Amino acid sequence: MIALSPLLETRELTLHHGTREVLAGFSCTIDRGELLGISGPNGCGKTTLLKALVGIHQQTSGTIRRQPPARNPGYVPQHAPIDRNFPLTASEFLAINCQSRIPWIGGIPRKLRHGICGKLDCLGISHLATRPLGTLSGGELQRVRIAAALLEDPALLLLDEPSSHLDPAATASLKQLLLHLHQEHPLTLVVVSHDEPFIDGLATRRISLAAPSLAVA
Amino acid sequence: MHLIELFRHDFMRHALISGILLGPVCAVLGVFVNLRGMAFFSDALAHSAITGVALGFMVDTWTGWQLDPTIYVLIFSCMLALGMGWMSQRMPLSRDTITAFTFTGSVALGVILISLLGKHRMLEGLLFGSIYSNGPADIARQAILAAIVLLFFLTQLRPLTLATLDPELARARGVRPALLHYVFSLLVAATVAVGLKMLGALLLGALIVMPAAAARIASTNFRGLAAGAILLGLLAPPIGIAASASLNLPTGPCIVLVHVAALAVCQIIHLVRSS
Repeated sequence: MIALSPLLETRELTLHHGTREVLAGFSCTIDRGELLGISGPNGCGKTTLLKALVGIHQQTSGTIRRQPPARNPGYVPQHAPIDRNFPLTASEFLAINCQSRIPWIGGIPRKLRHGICGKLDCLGISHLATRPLGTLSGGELQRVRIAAALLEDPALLLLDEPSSHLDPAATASLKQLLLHLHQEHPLTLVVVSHDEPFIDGLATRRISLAAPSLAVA
Repeated sequence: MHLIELFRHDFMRHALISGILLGPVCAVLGVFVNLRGMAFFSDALAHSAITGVALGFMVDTWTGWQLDPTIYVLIFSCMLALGMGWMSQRMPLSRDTITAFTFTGSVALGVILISLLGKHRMLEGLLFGSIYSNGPADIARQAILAAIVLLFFLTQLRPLTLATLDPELARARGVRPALLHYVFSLLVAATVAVGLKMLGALLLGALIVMPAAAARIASTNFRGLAAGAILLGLLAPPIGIAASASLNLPTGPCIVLVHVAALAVCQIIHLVRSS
């Protein structure tokens, strides 16, 4: 069991989406090894908060203090519709997510093969390696995206609405996968979702954001 | 005259070298023009290059300079590409709409300028190109362009692919999708400027879009797409030039028709595989 100590802290965080304030004065601490669920209705600032934690959305005011292991987190953005004809296989998708300087001209570079195959194997999706992304089901695609986010073995994994667009069976399977990753790996997880039943039974702690900007920890 | 004998002439050899240099460059750019839905953008840049030539004539007339028209087209195409990118981020209009009015507006301006300058006869060369007028200076420019495009793709292929598929994920990986988009647009603009002489404004877009479109139909992974597009881009110009010389037909359209045939073959392969 991993001892609880802060991995990431926010203090008096205020966030805007465009000109609209979506979160004001938000403070929280994310401890090592926890599985934090952030829920709330649409428009309450969940996604903006997650982007700020990842470092791709600049806060209007307040601070985000990241301990060194949290400075390069794994991130699975909200499901974006991909071009079903985009000619990229699952393993090629992992290859373009590698932050290695090894040149890539399609396929899997020899030096990356071990890491990519290992990660696909770890998530039980080795059989999807040569499948084009466009032929994957929603659940399969989500697993591939999680494998890509875990490529660099991050200490922190942040997922935005991971169960959206999934059927009940795929949602249950994803929940089991996240629980497995949390139990078997030294991984801190932050899951943002408006799907209350999904967060229930998954998160070890939960923060509910109220529309538009009041946070209840 | 025998085909091999024809290639003993400088103009034929220059045309062949131009085709072999520009074909793969256009094809590899075309991979991302296709994937990023920028086919209309590249076509619009090619058409708008007419205005760059016309503006160059005006500047030369006023100043007495005698600069190569390619320089004016290069500057104009790059400014137009940057302008369209800038507008698409700031105007509440779709990228297609912005491309449409920028392209039609600049072509209209170009035709008026050509009319004012009394250079109507120049229009045919601009629209359809004249690959046989390529000289060593043109080939040098094409080789420099090929080297720049090669360097760009060797270093930026991975981030560009990720930014094309999922810009937000790319940002989280430290990629700057907007900057990459601008650099890529400038490369397309530079290719249009350098390639205008080869195929002309009307047909150049085909050299960019068609090899990747054909390869995309037949491939299920990125490696297949890239390799297929480059191969088609490399083969179509020599085949088109040879067909044109043998049958005494215009060269640009022959190269485009080779691409059309390749696209049809790829579609047949796709249908056979699907069934």
